[in-house]
Amino acid sequence: MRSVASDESLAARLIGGEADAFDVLVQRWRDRIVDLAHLLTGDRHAAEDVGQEVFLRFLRRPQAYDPQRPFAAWICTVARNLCHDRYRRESTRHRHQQAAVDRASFGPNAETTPPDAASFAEAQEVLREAISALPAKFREAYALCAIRGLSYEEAGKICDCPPKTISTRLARARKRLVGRMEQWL
Amino acid sequence: MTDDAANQDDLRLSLHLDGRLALEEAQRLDARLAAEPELKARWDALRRLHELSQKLDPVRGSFTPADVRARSLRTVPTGQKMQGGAGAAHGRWRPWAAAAAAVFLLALTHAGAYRLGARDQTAIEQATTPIEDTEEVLRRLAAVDPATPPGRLDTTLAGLREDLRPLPGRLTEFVRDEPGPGERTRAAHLADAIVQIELAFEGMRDVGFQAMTVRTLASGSLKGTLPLRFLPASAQRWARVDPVDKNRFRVVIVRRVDGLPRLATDVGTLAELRVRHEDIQFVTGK
Repeated sequence: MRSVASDESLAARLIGGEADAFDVLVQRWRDRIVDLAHLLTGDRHAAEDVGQEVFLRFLRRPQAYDPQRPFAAWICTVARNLCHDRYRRESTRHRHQQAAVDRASFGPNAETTPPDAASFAEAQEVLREAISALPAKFREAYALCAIRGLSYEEAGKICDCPPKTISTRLARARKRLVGRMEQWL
Repeated sequence: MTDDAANQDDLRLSLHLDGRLALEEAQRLDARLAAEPELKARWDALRRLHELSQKLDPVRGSFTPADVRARSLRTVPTGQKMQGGAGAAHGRWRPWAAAAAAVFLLALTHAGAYRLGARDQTAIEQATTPIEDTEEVLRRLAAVDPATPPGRLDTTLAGLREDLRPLPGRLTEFVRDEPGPGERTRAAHLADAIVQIELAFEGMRDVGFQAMTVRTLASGSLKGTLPLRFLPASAQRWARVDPVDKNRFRVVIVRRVDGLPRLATDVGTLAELRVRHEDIQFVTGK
């Protein structure tokens, strides 16, 4: 039976000069990174850009990764930092969030639209907007743990904070989301 | 119940949802859930939120390893710094954004609403260098004088329109050289915006109003800010903002029927406006 190479061993091979390993890592991680960036930025184009930038950096300086450490946490950290950089660069951050808040606040009226009338797609759209409107730290915790299933410990490594902080942020994010999603839950 | 106690409950419910509570504590919470309808309602909402979140469709990336390799081989940074004119305030711009700004300046000039300065020409040259015949387009644009009598101005504009007609295709090709799929999408948006600007040229020539939406021009990372910010201060004098409702407004480019621009009076707030890109409309008229 053929064994599947681990991410860490592929990264080590890239550092050692085996360019083919890069292709495998991109194929394996591209969607997950773009999806994470989309959750963190709320912007499809920005997510594509961040995704490319993550792998571009890795290609240019693969030795920035230490193969002794988990590749997943490292690459998610790079993506998360790039999303943060993007926020800092763009003065439009507050406006985007405010716009998301405004959009999210225009939910169906509970009296005229019963919860079961809202389509699944609508609910997903509203959820995405509500997530975009969360403060960045809450959004990170929610995206990493509640949506993509990382443990508190893994998320803590990416966000550079203790697991307990992640759990608190996650609880607060959920509380806010339940408040915003009231008509759909 | 105090706020602090409620927050503690929320934290426990969240931990319970993630299976992080110790068995004894989880059992105590389950007992409370059975006895306290209000807490049970919060728990049910959390569970439904969790289920919905788990089913969120993942967004997929579409770039390939070859795309990334192509970008890594570029000797020029992904953006180019504009020293003046279009896009100066943004520092490093992606070429497509610079090209979009350049085309918009061309459009304003073409409409007689703006006169290119030397720095604008430099910016446009930077943005459109890969495009053939740019020099000829610029030469003819520079020859447009707002003081030109209407008859001659029309002739000049007709010639300019012919010059500009091939521009969208070439510009699109240029932007499409960018390897990323995001860039390709933007290229499509840009081409669309250019077509709309072309249509606006026609609208400019009519008496009355011809509306065009250039929201696509503002797509991408500069969304919402692009049309307003890349209007240079001198061009803002020829534009006016009309609020439509709380979230929307129109940018009105004012031009007299005789082809000469007219100073609008209420442009002071132009740079201050912050709106969503999809709500921006450019309206041409007299």
